[in-house]
Amino acid sequence: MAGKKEVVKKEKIEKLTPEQEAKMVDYREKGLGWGLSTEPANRPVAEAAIARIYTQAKMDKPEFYWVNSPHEALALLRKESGDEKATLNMPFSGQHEAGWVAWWKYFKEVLGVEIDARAEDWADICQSCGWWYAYAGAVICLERYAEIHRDEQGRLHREDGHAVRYRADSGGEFFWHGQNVPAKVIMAPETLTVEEIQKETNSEIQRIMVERYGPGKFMQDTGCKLLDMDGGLGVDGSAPRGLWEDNTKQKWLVGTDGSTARVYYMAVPAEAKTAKEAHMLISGLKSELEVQFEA
Amino acid sequence: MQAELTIEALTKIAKETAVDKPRAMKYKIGSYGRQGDIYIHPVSAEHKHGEATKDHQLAVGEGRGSRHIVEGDVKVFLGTNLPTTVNDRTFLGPMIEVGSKGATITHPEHAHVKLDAGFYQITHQMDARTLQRVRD
Repeated sequence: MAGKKEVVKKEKIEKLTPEQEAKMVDYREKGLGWGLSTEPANRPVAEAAIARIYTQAKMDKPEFYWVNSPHEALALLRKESGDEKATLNMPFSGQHEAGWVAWWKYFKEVLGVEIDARAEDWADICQSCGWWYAYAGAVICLERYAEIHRDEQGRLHREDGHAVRYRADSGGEFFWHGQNVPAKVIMAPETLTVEEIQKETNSEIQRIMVERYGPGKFMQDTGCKLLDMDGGLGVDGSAPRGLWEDNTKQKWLVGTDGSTARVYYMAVPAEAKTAKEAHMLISGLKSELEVQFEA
Repeated sequence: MQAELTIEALTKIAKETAVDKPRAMKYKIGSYGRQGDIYIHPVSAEHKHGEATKDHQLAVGEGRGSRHIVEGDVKVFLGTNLPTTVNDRTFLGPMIEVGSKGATITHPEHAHVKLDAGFYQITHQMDARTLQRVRD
């Protein structure tokens, strides 16, 4: 930390001018631009800023290693450390600090608020590279992604390839409306099997798998029999719920979340005889209570 | 065919009845609200809890980021006691204290929940196959 600093009292800003308010949009756009940039990293700028942060922390200037993905970062760490089980430190977010950097830059540059000069190092990093992993004497820096694909809500999403693609053919990540999913869910949904879907324990991934497989086909192919159906709980968004049993005797409560009409398949205990009982069993509720809403 | 037709009908009704607007949670002990796989139970001011936490993500799933985040006039504490309205096999989440200005629980896949001032204990849904809480 720097030494004691004289605090200069400034007049409190009570109201923004229309120009100042309009500038907020500019800074939001700037931030999005930094965060979503797919330009190659500006390595000299990033290395200089990170070196200054090491100096401020009274640490020796680090050696820099550049990689294209977190997977490459992990492989490099294990190779260099000779420890096959080494795990990466939490990274600093680089370009993904954009929200914070755009926020304070607005206050500094538009409203004249005094911001510690050291913050500019973080702005330089934000505008020049991806994540970075700090170690004593070494830094592993990530290149920026080669491609980023998003849906209309801005979530990572692509129906026919990597939503995030790393540089230099280093692979990528598959996303379906913001949810990280296994490759075959995107690239070969026709090869998904009932067994794979039933084994998936992440409810969001399983929901997407069923969506890609075809919900009706899934229930048909698992030999599902409808045991009970009710009209839901009668609050906003409530829709009918069905209790099903598949050919492995696993029972499923099939219902919706009430806000987006997505259909969920919830594994429920075998003792459930009605949709209502099934919900009580997975929620832990002892008795029928007043429900205020479902969402 | 029956399964396909029934699911198609269910999906159609769900689309017609889905309401994507914020839900209001009143501080009424003995009731509950559900957002996806978390349950929000109003509890008394004396409801026991652990120490305060800076993590405002109410259900730490495999996905990080904007899932079940509580924001606003709110303090979040580690949960130590289930509400009396659930059985002892229920999965415990954090406990939250909402001040007079209110708070909101957001999730990218579900409607937002606006909480009145009060005390709320979070619990999680169970997955019967793994006997673990559901993670989304």
